[in-house]
Amino acid sequence: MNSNKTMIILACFLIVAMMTSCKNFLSLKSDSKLLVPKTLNDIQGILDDAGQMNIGKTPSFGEASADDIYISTSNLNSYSELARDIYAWKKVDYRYPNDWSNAYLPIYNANFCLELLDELPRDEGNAKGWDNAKGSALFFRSFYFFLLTMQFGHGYNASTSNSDPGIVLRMTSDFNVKSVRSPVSECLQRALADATEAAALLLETPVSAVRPSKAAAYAQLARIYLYMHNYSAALNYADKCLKIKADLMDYNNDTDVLGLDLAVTFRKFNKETIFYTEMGTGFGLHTPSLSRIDTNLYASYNVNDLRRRAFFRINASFQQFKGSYSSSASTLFSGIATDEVYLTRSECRAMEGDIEGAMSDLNFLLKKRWKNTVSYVPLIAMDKADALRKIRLERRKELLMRNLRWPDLKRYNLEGAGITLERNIGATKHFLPPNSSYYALPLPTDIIEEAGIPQN
Amino acid sequence: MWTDLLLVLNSHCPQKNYNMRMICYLWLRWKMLFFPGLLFLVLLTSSDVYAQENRLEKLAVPVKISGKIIVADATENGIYIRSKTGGTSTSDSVGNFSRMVKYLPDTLKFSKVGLFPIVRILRKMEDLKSPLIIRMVAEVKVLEEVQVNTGYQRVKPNEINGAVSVIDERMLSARTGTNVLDRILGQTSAVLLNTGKTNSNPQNKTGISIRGLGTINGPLDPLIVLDGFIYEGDINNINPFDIESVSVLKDASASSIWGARAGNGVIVITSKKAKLNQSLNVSFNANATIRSLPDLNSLSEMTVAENIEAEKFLFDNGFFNNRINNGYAALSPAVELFLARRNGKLSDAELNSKLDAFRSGNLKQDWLNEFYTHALTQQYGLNIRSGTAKHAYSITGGLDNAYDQNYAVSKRYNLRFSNDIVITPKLSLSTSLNLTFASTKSGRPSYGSVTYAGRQPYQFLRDASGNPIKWAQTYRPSFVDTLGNGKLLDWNSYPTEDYKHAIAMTSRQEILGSVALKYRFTDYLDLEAGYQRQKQSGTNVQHFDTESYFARNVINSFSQLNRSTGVVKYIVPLGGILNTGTSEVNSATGRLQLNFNKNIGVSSITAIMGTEAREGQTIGNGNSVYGYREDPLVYQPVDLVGLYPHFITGTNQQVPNSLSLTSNQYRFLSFYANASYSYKGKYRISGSLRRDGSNVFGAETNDKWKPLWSVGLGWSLSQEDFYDIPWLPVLRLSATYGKSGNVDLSKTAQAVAVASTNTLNNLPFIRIRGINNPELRWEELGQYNLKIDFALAKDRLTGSFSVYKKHGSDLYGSFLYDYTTWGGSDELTRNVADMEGRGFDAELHSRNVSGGNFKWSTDLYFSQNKSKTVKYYAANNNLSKLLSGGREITPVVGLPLYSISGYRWGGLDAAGNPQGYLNGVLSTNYSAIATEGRLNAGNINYIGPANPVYFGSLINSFAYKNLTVSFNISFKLGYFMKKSSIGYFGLANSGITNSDYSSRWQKPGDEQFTDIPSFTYPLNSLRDSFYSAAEINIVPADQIRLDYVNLSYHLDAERWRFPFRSLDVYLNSSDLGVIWRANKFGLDPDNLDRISPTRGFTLGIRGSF
Repeated sequence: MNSNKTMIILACFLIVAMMTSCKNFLSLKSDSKLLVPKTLNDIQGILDDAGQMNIGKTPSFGEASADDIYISTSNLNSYSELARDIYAWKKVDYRYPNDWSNAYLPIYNANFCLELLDELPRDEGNAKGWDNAKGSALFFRSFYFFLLTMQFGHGYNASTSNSDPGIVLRMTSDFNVKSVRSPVSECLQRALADATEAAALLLETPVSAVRPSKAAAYAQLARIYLYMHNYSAALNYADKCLKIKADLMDYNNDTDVLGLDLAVTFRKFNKETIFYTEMGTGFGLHTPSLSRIDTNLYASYNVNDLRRRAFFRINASFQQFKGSYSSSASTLFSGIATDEVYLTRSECRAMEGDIEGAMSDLNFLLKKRWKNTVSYVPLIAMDKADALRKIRLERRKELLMRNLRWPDLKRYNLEGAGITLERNIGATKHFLPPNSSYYALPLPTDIIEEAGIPQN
Repeated sequence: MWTDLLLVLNSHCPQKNYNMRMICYLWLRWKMLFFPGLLFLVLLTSSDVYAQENRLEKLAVPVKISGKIIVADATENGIYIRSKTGGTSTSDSVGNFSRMVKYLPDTLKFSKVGLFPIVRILRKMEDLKSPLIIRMVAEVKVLEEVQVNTGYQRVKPNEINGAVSVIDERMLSARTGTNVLDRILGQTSAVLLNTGKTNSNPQNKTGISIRGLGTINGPLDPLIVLDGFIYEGDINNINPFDIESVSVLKDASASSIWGARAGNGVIVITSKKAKLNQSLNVSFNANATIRSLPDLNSLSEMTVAENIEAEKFLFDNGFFNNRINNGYAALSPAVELFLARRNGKLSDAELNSKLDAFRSGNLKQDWLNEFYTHALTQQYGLNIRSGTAKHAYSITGGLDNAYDQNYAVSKRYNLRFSNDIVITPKLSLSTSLNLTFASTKSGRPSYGSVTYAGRQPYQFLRDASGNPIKWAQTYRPSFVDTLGNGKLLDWNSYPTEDYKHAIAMTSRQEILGSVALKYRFTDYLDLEAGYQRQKQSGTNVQHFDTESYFARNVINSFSQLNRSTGVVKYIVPLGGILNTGTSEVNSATGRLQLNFNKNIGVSSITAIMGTEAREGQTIGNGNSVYGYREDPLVYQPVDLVGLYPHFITGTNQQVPNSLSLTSNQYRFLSFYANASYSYKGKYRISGSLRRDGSNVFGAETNDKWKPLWSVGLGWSLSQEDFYDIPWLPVLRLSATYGKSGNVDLSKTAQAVAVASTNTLNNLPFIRIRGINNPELRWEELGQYNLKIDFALAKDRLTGSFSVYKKHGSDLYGSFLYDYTTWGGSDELTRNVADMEGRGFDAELHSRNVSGGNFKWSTDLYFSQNKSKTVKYYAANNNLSKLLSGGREITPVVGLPLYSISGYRWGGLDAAGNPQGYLNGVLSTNYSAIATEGRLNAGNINYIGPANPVYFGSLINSFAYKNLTVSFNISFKLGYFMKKSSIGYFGLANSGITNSDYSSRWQKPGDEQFTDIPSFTYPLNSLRDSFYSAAEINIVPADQIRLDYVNLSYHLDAERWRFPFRSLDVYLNSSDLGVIWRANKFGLDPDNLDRISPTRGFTLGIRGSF
């Protein structure tokens, strides 16, 4: 029958249509902006995502707990009770989002990139880019592992750090791998190993300050060794870093100084910036517009010290910090700059007995902060202890609100400095004794619940 | 035209007296309405279907013509023959006729009820040759039995096993409004509009669910099909007047034919179409809806006096010191006064008199006078349909014009042509073209949209002499007025002026065209090839002119003032800011389908088989232009990359802009088949199979394909020989089972990244959007359905009852996870949940009184829907997840998808603190209470579902002679809602007020009478959140509403000698509000924490000729 024939032909036609070209038809991207990262360019792109790798991802709990800032009782009353408890160094119950989640995001990206690089052979043609990508990923992982360890682990004590709980050393992008807290010493060793490997791979001068570089890796190694009280190694790496990048701004007339009396003093990515990151907002206690600078600390800036103008803004009867290298009145720079490396080298030289070298580093820096119409009288040290006292005071004054005071306090107290912190809330005084267990800050409650790891 | 009218109105109509104002409005607007209406009528009545012959020539000798009329399949003849000049006659029983022709030209019209009329024009002598052979065919009636349109097939309701409701044109026109989906609410069972839900599920534009939910995190919208193809455009483009019927496909057997996106049910919309052999039909509709003014006092807010009192308390405690100290942050008017008092600039007496002025003000009334009006919507529609033996066409035009209560304007023009052409007896062609043009323009600010220093305002809008008052939105006027030594632009905002300078406009055009070619091989087999192309483009424009606060704020923020020279350097140039965005939605669908339809003896087989390919694309872009002026048109380039200091805060930032570029595309490829076999009309077995593929990103090719299927059985019990229930002549049972799916193209199995460019350093970057989850699969939804259809003798009572059960598995669900892996989110989406839905849908149509002058009929739609999560592979969901008020779908095993729980309430303690339970003991340790709740929910009680379990509507129609009154009462029962109360943290920080404040605990002993906590300082947000989530704030949401009342009068066209087939005048009143509610607080459950929609009154006319 005629109709049967046509039916057969049509059925065949439909079947043929089914078999062919379905695959191509369905292989179109659903969003032109989407991609599955595979290439070296993709990897570099992930590492260049400053919004997730650099901005607002470094921890701030330590900064909020340190003694550079205070908050008046009437202001404190307008904060949430969580922030009020944190201000009083109480053990708090807090959840996502937080420093932990912020810092583990770039760590995921770094791990993910390292896994992709394992699949991607390094050859003649791509060696330069491949090395930079691998070095960058390792640097980021080291950078954030260390920041977390400084905040959530106890200070480095060679005799107990093999058992003191540190952070989770997550080395894979697979979420099925269970989280375990590694000891502090292992965390620091991992940060050292990653940074050492990174230093060998990275370029000396980066395209942008948000990208890691060899100088940044050396500065990172100096930071870690300093925290571990290994002053000779810290000195070595600080020195290596300054050999690559040694620029300092002269606050008198540098083009990177927008104006000492402006609401924002410095240009972003100024010549001292080795590696650029910004601090997370955290609990809001360290917000520059709300927190006040410790009165004695402010008083320690000489009237001819330009930092007095560059760093502070008088708000009613108190001082607020405005001198962040982030070029913003509301966010804080938390990366690595040459001034920190100078101060590290200076302190290490003093520790190693090179008092003269230590004071020359310190004076070299301070002269650039001194009003050039008044002659600068170089600081001199009587002995090692005097040198250290002066260097550490200047370290605190120069690196204000860069999240370095908290690890420094841990380090100094472990060396017997005996610094007790004090907070006044109304008539109540709260104290944080030296080497208190609270120096390992509490972990987020939901991480304890989900991962089943022990709380501090 | 309308803006002119408003100007006239504002000058002519009394401002204060609302009744007068409304009458005035009505008068002015009805004048506007009647003018085009009248024109319309005149035009239509002047047309004539007959060819007008000017000169008649009398024949010298009358000619007798004879002929034969052949009517296919007719047993009777007897055709009525009328001539222009020669009177009338009738053909005999076999069709022979003869008559004398005296004049030329002459027109003979052959007609009979049920046959398509034929006109034969006799012009010349040659035309008078006998015999004259006239062939006539049966006329197709426009009003025939309702058919179910599945989009692929049209079948009679009793020829389908699945659960389908059809809403015909009459039911669609019972409601007014410009959106077709709004018109199906309450006119069928199983369809529910979910109100007050804030879930972030993708593709949840309509808020409509059919038979409840089938997913947790997947798309929630039913699939919308227009004239056989999935409709991707804006639902507002569809002109309700042009819609003939809407079929709602509820169960899997009905919807599985639509494949992977039909898991939420399918709404099939069918446009009006002409039929072959249909005489010319012109129908029209014109109406106008006017709405009453909103009741701003229905919001539960604190009074001005209370607000000032609360601000005083906060001020005294130093709460505002941070804002005061920074010098520039805006302060509310009372705080400014308290500050002036503190600084000794005001005396107590001055302070009090100024505060009294605020206390005596009535901002809500001012707001109403200044910014509100009676909303008006006008709708006009005209449809012309006609068909000959070889060609049928339909043309519809529509014009909607709406003015909302804030003077925002929206307009829509629709035009639609459709054609059916019989090319050869075997080949036919159908084409259609829809054009839509729509536009909107913003009006004035609604109440609550402008704040003062971020708080609920009580400042006046105008001073005593009518001048606009400045409002401090971001900065203190005293600070910004002197900041730039007069060199900056005014940095204040003026609510009465600002809307005139910040105008948002949108426009939208859509072209939708389709072609279908059908070839009939035999009378039972045909092949259809169809193609549809759709293109919708939209533009939105935000124009902030030079005087707008927005433009002034941006320009000032980026200005750089040299204080020694007084020269201002503008980073953002003076002038307006124009943000434009365009979006385009394109889609194309091609389909090839084989239809088989044959009766073999007592069996009949219907089958379709086909393949369909779909492609769609959404592209968009945004742009900003600065220094913009319209006339003469100028703009200036701006550096969008560089960082510039903010004039006040000094923070370096980039000039804001809305640059964007997006492009999304999806593709689906499907193969489908559907067959049904019926034996003796008693038994029917049906089945369908469909395989869908899509370009899900990152999925492996195998996972892109999804087979879906259904089976059904039907039994017409009443046709069995043994059936013997005379009062129940129709009884039919059917059962179906099927699987449909749900796919969300945004969820992928691989770590997918998005490319972009860093604003910080202009380096391109790639951002991981979601981490890799190789186990991700498509969701699957299986559904059983059992249905009984019945009809009592003489159709006094007809109805259907169906029960269903659905089971969703592999549903996307978020689960909390250890975010140490990836800090981007503390939740991951996986296929973690199974859900179960069950319920019934009942429809009853009763003719209570019929015959005679008085008629009364009742329609009842009643649905039950229960859902619950049956499996959830994440351990951490317990009752504490349901504390937020049931606004989101939250899976907790054993409980409904939308559910609500509350902290066990322990009353207030002697200090006015709310008490909960900790380890079974009364406690005010809110942090510990929250922790216990989260860990084991021991102090939380489950309250119930947060979505109606029972819902439906009851429509009663009474007719006396030509007058019909009908009203729809809808109900939603068996669910709960969380009422908002006072939260002091929100009151202090965001100025969110609540009238519960006045009954708060104020002195010891108050705890005996009130449950509203005391106002304490320091603020305690945990205390607030505990109280807000306590069971005491959860109230039943059950409600009964009067949806609409319709009054229509049918003009007797025959008797009144109107040239109409039908003509109806109708009056409709809608949104009449709640008539019963279970809560004692007077809350409207559908409009919690917002102003209820105002009552609308519609006057309209519709008819045809």
